[in-house]
Amino acid sequence: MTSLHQPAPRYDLLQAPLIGRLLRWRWGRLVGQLLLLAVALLMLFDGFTGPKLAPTNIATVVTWVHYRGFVMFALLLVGNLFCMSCPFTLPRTLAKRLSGNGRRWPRRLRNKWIAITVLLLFFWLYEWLDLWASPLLTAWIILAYFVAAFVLEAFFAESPFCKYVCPLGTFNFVSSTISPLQISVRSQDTCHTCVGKECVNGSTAVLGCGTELFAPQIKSNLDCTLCLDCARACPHDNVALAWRNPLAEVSRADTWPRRWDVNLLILIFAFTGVGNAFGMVPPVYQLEAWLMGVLQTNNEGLILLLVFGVLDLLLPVGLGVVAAWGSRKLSQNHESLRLNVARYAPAFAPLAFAIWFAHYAGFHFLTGALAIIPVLQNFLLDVGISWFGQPNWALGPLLPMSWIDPFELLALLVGTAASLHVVGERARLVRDEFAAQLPWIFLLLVLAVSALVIMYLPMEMRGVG
Amino acid sequence: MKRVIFLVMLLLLMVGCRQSQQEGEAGTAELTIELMEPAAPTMSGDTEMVVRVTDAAGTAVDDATINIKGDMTHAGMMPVLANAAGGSDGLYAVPFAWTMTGDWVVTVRATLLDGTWSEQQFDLTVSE
Ligand code: SF4
Ligand code: SF4
Ligand SMILES: [Cu+2]
Repeated sequence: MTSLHQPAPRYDLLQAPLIGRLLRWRWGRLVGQLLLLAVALLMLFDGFTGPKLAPTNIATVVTWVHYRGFVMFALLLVGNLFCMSCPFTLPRTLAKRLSGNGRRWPRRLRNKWIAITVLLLFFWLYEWLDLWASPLLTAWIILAYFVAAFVLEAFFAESPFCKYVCPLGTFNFVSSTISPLQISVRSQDTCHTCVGKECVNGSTAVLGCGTELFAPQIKSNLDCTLCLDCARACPHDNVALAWRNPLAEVSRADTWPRRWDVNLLILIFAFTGVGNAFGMVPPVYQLEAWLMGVLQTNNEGLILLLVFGVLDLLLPVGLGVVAAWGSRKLSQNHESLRLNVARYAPAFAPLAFAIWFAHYAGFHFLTGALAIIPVLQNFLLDVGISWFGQPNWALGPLLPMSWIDPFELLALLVGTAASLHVVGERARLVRDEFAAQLPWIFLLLVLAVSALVIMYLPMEMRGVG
Repeated sequence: MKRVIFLVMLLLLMVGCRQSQQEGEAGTAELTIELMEPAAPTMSGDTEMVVRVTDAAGTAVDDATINIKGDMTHAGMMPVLANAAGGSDGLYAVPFAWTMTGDWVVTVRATLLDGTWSEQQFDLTVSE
């Protein structure tokens, strides 16, 4: 097991000049939140009242191009910056004030099953309602986030919305397991003698960790919203936000609970990455048409539930269990399937992230980031401000289009290599022989190749706003 | 509570002030714009669009400038832009190439010499 005397963090962002001060500042988080709140209000306004055409509306462009792109770059280069500045939790703070201390989230729900369900539901709605094509629906989704965060917070003591429900949170938590920053402490000894444990318990002045993580024991970014409440609450100024090897967390055996929910979530996250990209290429429409013929139905919601139920749920769970079974068989090991899945599923995190990164950051963001300029010009014209001139709709790509494919390819290759490396590392920890790794390596490669093939297919985009 | 009401009022006011919804936006010119071709657009087959412009009396208009903007329904996708000027019998051939299959919204604007214009939107599905 782990030694309690972890070395003091090498580089602590909280001690950096200026930025460290800003981060630890009592209202530091609020600044970011208010900024994003302003953006969210603008998106709601344009979503509800603006142009119906998705590429010309702030709500759709910012959500499906900029939000997704920024989040991926932030997670890769820094950490879970979106949750840190999440505007949805602002009214929630108000809810806390109103309700005082609510009940605790029920014990039976203290796992990732609801989060998985909501995540899958979200991806299904995304395909069924063509969310990317509808400013109005996108605005409704944003509104729903505010309401859901507020309601759950009003009724429960901790922050159940972030930890157990929010699909954005789930997405960001899983992705942040390969982020280079993580909360830790400067001195374990200080924590040993600390009486109040304010980082998690909070004090009269400051809230403790909303997702109930205990700073000196944190080994994983899962469930950390990077709110830094812990750093503000600690009376000994002992909390650090330290750089780490991005593969450290997923390479170590003791960082995640060896539970089905957490480990299947990683596999599901990887497969939904492929599924979500598959939703944008011609074969998905051929598959839908074929299924409609076979099943004699025109119900698109049902067909999509079937397609993505298989891709996003059945395949990751089924193939994960099969791989574990094969791994056990080949190595003549008698451990439970759960333990085998828990050993190798975390290795999928880098590849999974790379698939999402290639799609959201590599494709949508790099090809469409500048589109926000004409969209904003158009918006300003529409509300009667003409200082910024006529929109130039030719603006869009951030890089020459010919760079996009190599960029995505590079992301996928790096992700695949990292995942293969992690498989080896995790096997080495328990001296698992190569045969035990084989089924998992095979599954990883199947996933990587599927992602590559989809990337090189021509695109087709359907959907009516 | 007062503050909330104030904010809601402010929002409603802003919504009210919004000039247009931009759907089939009408400039000051009273023109009829028809998309003659392509009727069944394909990625491989199309190199131009044919647009027909007539005035309120149904007479062909030849001295308009045509601006076409083809949008995917997906946010953040680059639109295809194309222009043409000078028609005959009200017909304008505008060079145009689709960039991918799927659902497109084509917005055609015809601007007259005096700067007045008229706009029309067409929904098309492009196949291979
Ligand atoms: S409050 Fe500070 S010193 Fe106390 S346990 Fe938490 S991090 Fe350690
Ligand atoms: S450990 Fe908890 S309090 Fe600290 S930054 Fe993460 S979520 Fe916030
Ligand atoms: Cu996409």
